[in-house]
Parts: sequence; structure tokens; C-alpha cells
Amino acid sequence: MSAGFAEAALEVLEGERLEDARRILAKYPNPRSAVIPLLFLVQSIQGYVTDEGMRDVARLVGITPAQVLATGSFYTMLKKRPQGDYVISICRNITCTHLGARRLIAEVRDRLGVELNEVTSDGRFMLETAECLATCDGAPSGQINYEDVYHLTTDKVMDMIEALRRGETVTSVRGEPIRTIREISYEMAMTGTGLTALGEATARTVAGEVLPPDMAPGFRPRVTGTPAGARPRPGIEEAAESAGEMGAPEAEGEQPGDATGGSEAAAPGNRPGHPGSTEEESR
Amino acid sequence: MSDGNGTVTVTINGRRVETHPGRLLIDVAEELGIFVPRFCYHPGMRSVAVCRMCLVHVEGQRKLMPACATPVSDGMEVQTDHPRAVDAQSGMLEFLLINHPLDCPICDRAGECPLQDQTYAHGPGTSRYVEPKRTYEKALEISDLVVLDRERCVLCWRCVRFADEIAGDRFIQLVDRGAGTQILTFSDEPFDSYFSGNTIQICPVGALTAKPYRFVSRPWDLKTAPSICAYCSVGCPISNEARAGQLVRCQALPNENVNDFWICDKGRFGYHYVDSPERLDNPLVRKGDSFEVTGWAEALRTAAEGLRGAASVGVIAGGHLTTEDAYAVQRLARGTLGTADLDSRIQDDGAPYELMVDAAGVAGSTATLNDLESAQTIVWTGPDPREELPVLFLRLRKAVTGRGAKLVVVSPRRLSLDAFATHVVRCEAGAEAAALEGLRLGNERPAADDVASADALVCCWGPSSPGRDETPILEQVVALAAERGGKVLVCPPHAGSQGLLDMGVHPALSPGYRRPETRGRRTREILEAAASGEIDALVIAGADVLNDFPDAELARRALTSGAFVVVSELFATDTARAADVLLPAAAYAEREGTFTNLERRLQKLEQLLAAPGTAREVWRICAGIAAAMGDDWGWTSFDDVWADINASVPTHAEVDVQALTQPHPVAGPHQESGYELMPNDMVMAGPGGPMPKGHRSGAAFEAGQAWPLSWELRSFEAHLRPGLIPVAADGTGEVGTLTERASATRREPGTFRLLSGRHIYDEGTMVSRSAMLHELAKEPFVALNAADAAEIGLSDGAQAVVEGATSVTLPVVIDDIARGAVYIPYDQPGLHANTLMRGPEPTVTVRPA
Ligand code: SF4
Ligand code: SF4
Ligand code: FES
Ligand code: FES
Repeated sequence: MSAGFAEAALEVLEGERLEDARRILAKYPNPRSAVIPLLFLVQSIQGYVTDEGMRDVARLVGITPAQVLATGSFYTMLKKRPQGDYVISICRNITCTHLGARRLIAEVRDRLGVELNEVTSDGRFMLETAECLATCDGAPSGQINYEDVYHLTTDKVMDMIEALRRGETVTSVRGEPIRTIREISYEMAMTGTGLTALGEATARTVAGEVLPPDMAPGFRPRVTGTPAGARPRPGIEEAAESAGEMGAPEAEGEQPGDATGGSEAAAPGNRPGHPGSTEEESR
Repeated sequence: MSDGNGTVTVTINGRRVETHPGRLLIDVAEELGIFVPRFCYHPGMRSVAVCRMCLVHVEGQRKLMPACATPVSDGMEVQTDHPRAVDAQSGMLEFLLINHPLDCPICDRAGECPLQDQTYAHGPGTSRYVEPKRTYEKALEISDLVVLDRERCVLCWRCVRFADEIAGDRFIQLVDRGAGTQILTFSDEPFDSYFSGNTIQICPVGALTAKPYRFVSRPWDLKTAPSICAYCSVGCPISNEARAGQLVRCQALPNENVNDFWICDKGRFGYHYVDSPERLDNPLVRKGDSFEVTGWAEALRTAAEGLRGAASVGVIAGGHLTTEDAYAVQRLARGTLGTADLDSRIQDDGAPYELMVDAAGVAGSTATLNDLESAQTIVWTGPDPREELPVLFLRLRKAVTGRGAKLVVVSPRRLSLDAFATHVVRCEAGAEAAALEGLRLGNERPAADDVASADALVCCWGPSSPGRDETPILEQVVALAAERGGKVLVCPPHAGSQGLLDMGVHPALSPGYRRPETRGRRTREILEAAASGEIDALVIAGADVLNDFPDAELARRALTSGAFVVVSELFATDTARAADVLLPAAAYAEREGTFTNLERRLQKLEQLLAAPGTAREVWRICAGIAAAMGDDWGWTSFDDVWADINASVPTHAEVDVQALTQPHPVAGPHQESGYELMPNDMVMAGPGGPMPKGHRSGAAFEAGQAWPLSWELRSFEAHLRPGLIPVAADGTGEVGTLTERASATRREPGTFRLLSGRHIYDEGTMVSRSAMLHELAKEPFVALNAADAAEIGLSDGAQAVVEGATSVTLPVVIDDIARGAVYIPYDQPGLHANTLMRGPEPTVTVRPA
């Protein structure tokens, strides 16, 4: 099936992006392993995973589009419908719900003027719910483009959205500036190809190196023991400060990168069960 | 206790059985007549154990074990009816029904539905679930033949696994996850597979339904009869199913020797021609330019007179006749008409089946389909089996992808087998013999190494392109097999082809693979003699020579030369229209008979329907003509024909044809409306209790007490219809050597060898009258090599003028095909490629339009 396909038939993965696709394919002995990163590459170009994109991936990998769909549709970070530039996920699981997440979700939804999983009229924001993000300590918590934001209120979420709308930098609790879906999708796609910082960290980790904690893939600062409302909440501009304030976890004993190891689907900043994660230490 | 001979003893529900280690618990239990409920397990596919319906209690195990994924081991004690197992089974069913729409009253599957049956047998009577059910858009057409209802799906993966593991057409998949998981195809890529219908049959609910059968019948209103598919020479057993005298469904019957559990979509959906209003129903006799309807007496008298007045008669029979018809045609020709000029090779004119007699004592295969299962290396040279012998393609694919056999494909053009072949030897058209010789002599490496190292070798050969002289190819195939102690699988094209060879409808073979006293003319020579007036009468049985013989012009001249022509046919084909006497024949579902498949296996078909009007079996027509000529064979019944065959065909002397009657999964009187048989006071009992007699899924479950279930679920069915391969008296089964002959024809520059082949859905007499499939027939095209195309200024999609005996404009397809050859499908809408062919090795010129 893959033999002798005409590259001219590719609709999305062209030019430089085709070069990227080749780099991704080169990483794996079995081309099928490249499906997920290639779909992230498609998402980085088109903003979501389109039919044309899935068809291209099928051609490159040598499987049917239906097989690409079957694999890709399992992963919720690969969206088959437009999702805008920023996906706001708010946890609706038990801890967050106790701390008002349901009302929060409803209010944000109304203020955005869209239904859940619908993109705002300017095409930039989408609100979705999430199950426990393993950040109950920051409840009600959520993520913007899979970067954690804690102790959410309706105003605070809307402030972040407005700031993003104005083009200002918004940082997550780990001090990372929140980037667009296309940007993070590109990073996800190219992980391990030596082209991105995260990629480099992952590659070194996979190679067995123990990286300094702030370089570790999936690193997240300690934000425990803070009663809601009693301390400055990480959010806009506060996150960096908050990260510093809370202190970095001990460098020793940190075994980073475990969850990233063999899985091309793992997401940065969203690693429940990450060994050495801060919640566990605090318990 | 293990007896040291590799057997183990297990106890299931208190019954001890000795069996082989490693077998699955679910199968071993079933052989004892203990049916373990199931959804995902299918005996024709690998276990995945995803539905958890088959949980049983194994002594010493803390958790319940899935019987479909648990191999038996020595001393194992199993209870399938342990309270914990019963509880789990009931719980699983309650879960499965949470989202099930329970729309049995409008579901095609109701009455033969494994979900329904197993819920009755093992499920809870009620559900605790009160929340709204998951809903989807209903009746999604996922192909031209298959309709999907996701609400009914129980996510057993059977359809997905079939498409992946068996057919290799991965167009249907499980999409999304968790409670939202659904079966789906890609947006604009339908489930286009030649085998898609099998998923309908194995779907354990009504989620996949057949477009032609939707809302057509209730299973208990069907009258059914076991039969054999009348299309290709694989000879898949099928169940013909009729409602109110009309064929409405065809399903696969399992035979582990032949088709495993599968049939192709042509076999499944290609039955509509039987009920076509175009069927001939009464004899027609030519009066000037038109036909007049007559009675049989007059028609036979006219035929007899015409034949008696002829100086020389030629007899041609088509590939869809049964073994009995074939014997009758042969007796009519050699006996009554006293001619040696008879043949049954039409499109395969030039296929030297008789060579096999010298080499192995049989004009056919020495290998069986099961030999493919044990072969280490398989060599294929011939047509594209996916198009022409679809289930053979599945068997080959299973041997290679499922078991790791090596496959060497020798062909001048890309075949579907290339996708999983170990080696593809792409030779020039005409150089196949040389390539095979290379395999033999070890030059064609690395393929030759896999041939040389194989302990079990099967060499498959079938006529690769209509009309070609395949002698040098078959000689090399035979030599290769002989030298390596291998076997040969000979693949003639049609359901009746092998039976016709066995019964001596061949100029150089008389019944039972003997040599006749006089060698007669072959099809091409018969037609040439008819065209020149040397032969002045033709008897043609079920053959559309005008459209099927690979030289249309020759066939036309033969039929219009003034010869007296008697034709028996299902339809008024172009050939039939040239007849002086046209006699209507019965179709396969309207008669008792046998087909002999490509491994020479005799299998029996039963009559289900009445033939239209006064149409009848070809054997009866032949006997009628003979009687009208004063030669009364004394045949009045099917058994009379067989008494004659037993007496005069040495290979078939011992065949007890009635013993070949296939068991049908639907037990009891095959009678419409089971309700008549179902007393009002009969209630559905629990496991072990009786099912109402006559209930569709109430087929007697041979071995034991357990609840009888939908026959599609039962694996033991596959052992029940072995058929019979008659033994040739002097056939050793070993392939002896033949002398070699120089091969490799030279290629003339500027012209192309014309290669052709049939496609699954084409203009054939039967399939073109099966409306649903005819719509799927592809338009004709001309395929050629990219370099050749560039040389003459053609590219993919361009229009080209192809000139042979006639000229035609066709779209160009660039394909992997040897230089110097083009490929044009044989018989697609708008082009009978035989009109382009002249002479035995046809060539064409190609230029841009
Ligand atoms: S459609 Fe039928 S065969 Fe396919 S997964 Fe659903 S229930 Fe099983
Ligand atoms: S493979 Fe041949 S015999 Fe079997 S169902 Fe198809 S056409 Fe009929
Ligand atoms: S419940 Fe919301 S993060 Fe755990
Ligand atoms: S888990 Fe055994 S039949 Fe499905």
C-alpha cells in the first residue's frame, strides 16, 4: 500500500512539514509507531486533526485511513473537530466538584457564550471538562492547553482568557508561558527528533541521563499545603513567582521522564502517576 | 492423567475427556456438547477475549477464566455452570443490554440472534438500568452492500478482526474509546472488500445487515437448503435461503477443508440472477429471424433432426455445469453423436490440464487446499486469485500471514498476492516458464532458496490470461513439484470446470482421466472448423462463446456460418440468440447435483426452488436429445445418472453420491414459517431445557444437553461436510517429471502482449444479472508499465487507443506490469476484451487518443 505512493497526493504534510514527517518516521523501526506524532504534526498545521491529515498519515505510514482514525481517536488530545488556539479544561471530578467546579464550568461556559466543546465565535477558545487531573491540591483546578492552572474562579479563568486574547503572556503554575495548540502540537510531534527543547530533554532522559529537575520532562513544582484562598494563587503572572515561592523539589531522588519513556502520546504537564510527583511526597 | 503421548485429561462439568494440550477450553467443552456462551470468540479467528461472556470456573483459580483464551492443561477441572460463572454470564449480558436498543421486532437478526438466544439462555430477565441509552444515527451505509447500526453493536470486534486478520481489508475499525467506542469506517472510504458479507454473518447481533436482505424476511419464514456456490472453482458450501419461492439470502456454510467459514461477496450476493425475469422458461425454436415458443417434444425433435442431418458435430460446454451435466454432455457427444470434438475450455482454451494426467494420473490437483496449511513454500503462477478465486486468496493469505509460509509469486503483472508475498518474480509476459525454470535450477534467487529449502512445497497454477497456451508454464510447474517432491494445485476457473475434466468433456480425455481412442478438436479448432463449414452442427451447453471465447470474431464466424446450433442456457445470451434450438436450463438452486472443486472434491447441492416454466437440468436435456435421436439412456432421476457414472467412470465407481448430502445447520423439515411447528404451550426453558422444535436457532445440538444456539456460533459445524475426493486408479498422487520444452517467446517491438483476466464483478452471464453486484463492476481500462507509457506519450488517467482485432479507447492506468505487455480486464461493462483478441497469443498496439 505504501509502496510507490505519489507524494504529490499528500495534502497537508508538504514541504518543510514533510521533512518533519520524515524525521519522525526515521525514529521508529516500525512506521506504525509514528502515527501519533504524525497526527500531532497534522494538528500543528491545521489546528486539529482533519480527514486530509489522517489520509496523509495513512499514506506515509502505509495503513488505511480507518486505521489512523482508530488509533488517533483513542487520544483526547488529538481533536477531530476545530478546537481554537486554546483549550480550557476544567476538572469536574470529586475534589474539584466539592470546591465548586460544576458552577465554575457553567459560569465560564455562559461567559464565553458557547456550549462545552464548542469554539468561541472568534475561533480561539474552547471549554471542555476533564476528569481528575491529579492536581486536587490546586482544586478547583484545570489546564489551559494541558498546562496546569490552580485554584480557579470564574473571574480568574476569564482574566486569563482575556489576557490571551490580548496577546499577553499567561503562565502556568510551573511557570511555563502557555502556548497555542499548534505550538504544543508541534512540540509533541517533534519530541525526540532533536528539534525542540522538550525533545532534547526526553532524548537525554531516554538515554539514561538524570537531568536537573527543571529540565526534566513533565517537571512540575511543588504547590502543596496551601489552603485555598490563603495564599497567592498561581495564575496570570503569579505562576513564576509562585513556583519560586514554593521551592523546587529535591533534586535527589527525582526519577524524571518515566512516563515519557516509551510513550509517544504522553503529554507534558499532564502526568498523573509521575514518579516523584509532588503530591506523593506531600502525603 | 498425561499418558506421555501428549494428551491431557480435563474434567468439564463432571465429564472427563482426553484431548491435546493447548486446545482452547471453549472448543473442548463444545465437543462434549457443553456450550459456553460467547460473543467475541470465533473459531475461524484468533481469540481476543474482549467480551468476557465465556467466563467459567476452573478449580484452583481464584478468578473466573475466559474459556476462549484458556488452554486446557492436565487435570484441569472446569465448571461452566458454577454459580459464580452463571452469575458472571448473567451480569455480562445485563451490561451488554444497557445500551442495546432492544429493537428486535424490527431487526433482521431476531430469531437467529446470538444476543437474543444467549440472553434467553443465560441472561437476567430484567435490567436495573433506567438511564437513557446511548444513541447513534441508525442504518449507516458503510458500503454498497453492508449497513451498520451502531446502537445494536456489542463491540465484540469480530468484524474488525475479520477485516484485519482474514481479509486484510482494514476499512472497518473501532473508533473512539470507553463508553463511546463505536464501529466505523473512515469518512469517505467505505468498507469495500470482496469479503465484507462475512462480517454480517459473524456479527453476533443485528449491527451489520445486508442491504439486499434488510427487512426482507424473518428467519423462521425461510426455506433453506445446503448447496455449493456456482461461481468459481473453490466450491464454497453455502446455504440457499428462500422466502415464498424466491431466493432472498445466501450464507456461508463452514467446511474446514474448503472455505473455513467464509465466502466471497460474489458467492453471497450473486444469487439474484436465479430469479431474474429474463430467465428462459420454455424451449424456443428458430423460425426465420425469430424464435417460437414450443413444447419440449417438438424442440427435442427439431434438435435431433438437425443433429442427425449433420455431417460433423462439435460440442462445447461451459464451466458452470455440474458433474452430472458434464457426464451427460460427454455421453451425448461421444456416444449418441459419435463425435470426438468436445471441449469445456472457453476462456481457458489453451490450458493444458491433460498434461497432469501424464505427470500424476489426474487431470487436476494433487494438492488439497489443506496442503496450503502445511506447506513451507507456495509458488503461485496464474490469475489474480482475489478476483477470480476469492476464497482461495483467503486460504493463501492465511497460510502466509497467519502461519508464516513463504510465497513466491511468478507473474508478469501485479497481483493482489504481491502485498504479502515473500518473493515476487516479475517476468516478461511469455517468460513465466523461464522464470519457473530459474526457480527450479536455482538461478532465480533468493526465491529459489525458499523453494529449495522447503520440505513441503505446493505449486499452484491456473490459466493466467484467456486463450494463452500455458503448456510451457505447466510443464515447469510440474517439473518443479516433481523434483522437490511437492504437490500441484491446479486452478481451473469455474465451479464446474473440474467436473467437466473429470467427466471427459475434453478432446483428449475421456471420463476418469483416460485417453480416448480418437483425440478430437479443442474449442478453438471446433470454432475454426465450424467457421469453415467442416463442422456443420454445434451443441453448446451453458457457454457464451461469443463473449467468453478469447477471439470474438472467430466465435462469431463459427455461429453464423450456417451450422445448426443447439444451445441450452439460463438466459438469452448473445450466443443463445444465434441458436436454432434454444433449451432452457435449471439454475444451481433449482436442482440436485454435485460440483467438483479445484482440489477435485465432490460436494453436493440440494434443490431449493422450482425452475422457471419447464426449464430443466442439462443432463435431462442431453438425455432428451439422445432419446429423440433414438438412443434412450433410460435416465429419469438424478440417481439414475449416478448409477451410470458409478458404472462407467472408474474414478467415481465407489462414490455414494447421497452420502455426500450436507448436513444443514437448520434441523428438521426445511419448511417455511416455523410457527406452524411451534405449539402454543411451548415455553422458553432455561439452560439445558428444550428449544421449540422448528425454531430457527433450535437446531439439534448433537452432542449434549446444553442450550442449542444460533448455528453461526458453533465451531463444530466446520467438521461436518468434508465432501469427497475420488481416488484415481492409476493416480499415485505423486508428480512425475515431464520433458522440458524451450520457453520464453520473443517480444516484437512496437506492440504489446495483451494480458487479461476476469474481475470479481463483471459482465459474466450470471453476475451481470445480479443487479446489486453488477453496479459494482468497474469500467474497463488499460494498464501498462510507466516506462512503456512514457515512451508512447501516455500517463496515468490519459485516454489511449488500443488496437487489436478491433479498436477501443480506454483510460490508462499505470501499474506494476512487465514491459512489453498491457493488461485489460476481460469482461467489464462496455468492453468484451475478447473482441480485441485474435489468435492464441493476442497482441495490441497502444497510442494516445
Ligand atoms: S458490528 Fe457486530 S461484529 Fe462488529 S463489533 Fe459490533 S457486534 Fe461485533
Ligand atoms: S470463492 Fe468462489 S466458490 Fe467461494 S463463494 Fe466466492 S465465487 Fe463462490
Ligand atoms: S478532582 Fe479535580 S484534580 Fe483531582
Ligand atoms: S471473552 Fe471469551 S468469548 Fe469473548
